[in-house]
Amino acid sequence: MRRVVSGSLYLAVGALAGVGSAVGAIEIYGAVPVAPESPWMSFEVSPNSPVQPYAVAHFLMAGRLPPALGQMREFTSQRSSDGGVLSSACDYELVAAPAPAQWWSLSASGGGKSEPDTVITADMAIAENDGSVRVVVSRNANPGNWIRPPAGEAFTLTYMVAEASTSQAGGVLPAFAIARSRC
Amino acid sequence: MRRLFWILAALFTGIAAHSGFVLLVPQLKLNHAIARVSAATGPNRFFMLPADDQLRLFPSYPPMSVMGACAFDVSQGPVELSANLPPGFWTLTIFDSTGNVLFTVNDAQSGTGSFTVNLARAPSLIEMLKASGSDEPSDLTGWKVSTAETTGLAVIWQPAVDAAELPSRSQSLAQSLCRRSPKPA
Repeated sequence: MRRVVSGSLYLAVGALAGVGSAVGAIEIYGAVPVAPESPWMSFEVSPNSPVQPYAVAHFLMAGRLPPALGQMREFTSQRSSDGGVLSSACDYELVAAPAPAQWWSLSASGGGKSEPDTVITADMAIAENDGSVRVVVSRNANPGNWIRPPAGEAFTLTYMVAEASTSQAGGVLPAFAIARSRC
Repeated sequence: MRRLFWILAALFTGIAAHSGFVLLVPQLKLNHAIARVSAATGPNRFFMLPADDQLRLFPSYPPMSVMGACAFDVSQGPVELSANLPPGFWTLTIFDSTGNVLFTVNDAQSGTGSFTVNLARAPSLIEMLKASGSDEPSDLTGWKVSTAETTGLAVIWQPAVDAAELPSRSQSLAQSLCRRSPKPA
């Protein structure tokens, strides 16, 4: 009897460790930094990627579908360019110089839900005189391009950009630098 | 020795639980989401995705968009999806029931807003071996997509520049058809 209980305990620990490592791997393995110093992460949903099952699972577990490879690429960031964690207590200025050539969208989500409160897209954004695009992320209303992050502490920025062609898959990088402007 | 046996058994249980979770749980969540959005129409029918479902399934897509979808099931035979979209940027993406993208195309790649996609179950290895090997003529028009998974979701997305465009774009997209193919694949 003791052996059966002991054996079952081993199996239960093994199963729990397996599920726990799967949940962790879905969050960690799927996301790959786009460049060594960049705050932007990309989820490698390409079938050629060894982490593809984890990357696809990352989207499905959040109740959403992955971006269509060859049409859209999606990048997320939970940090500013100086490495600080994005917080709704601070204001951030996102600058792309020059403006992205393809259609794009930017949104901020957090507070336990994946749906963003506001989304700004290439169609809505107003470019600066020098051709750059500046987007302010702040809880307070701002003139120009403005995203309101969700209430609470940490939030995630999501940048989605259309790919010009399938031959450029993997070649589009996030154009926006994330500068903390005020806390 | 007995302890080593149980440690190895725990290790294999952990590997099985890890793989099972990564491969099955996300798929179950996706199938649940597909069943929920297509509950009113059922499989192989085209429907417009309401704004809240758009936001849930594609949170980084702009709110000023129109989206239509078809929850296809090719287990009983091929399914065809036809659309006639107005000029402008649009994408068609076909996901299988595991969340993998089977096929995707946009307005520039397509060259036309009027298209038909024929979805069919991919033949198994035994079916391929049994096939005669002759190139049988096909009377299918449009693109053909074969899938090993028999179910999935085809989504057409078209963004609108302003809110005034939404009703006309929505009306055009709603004319799209998804049905069991009357022609054999």
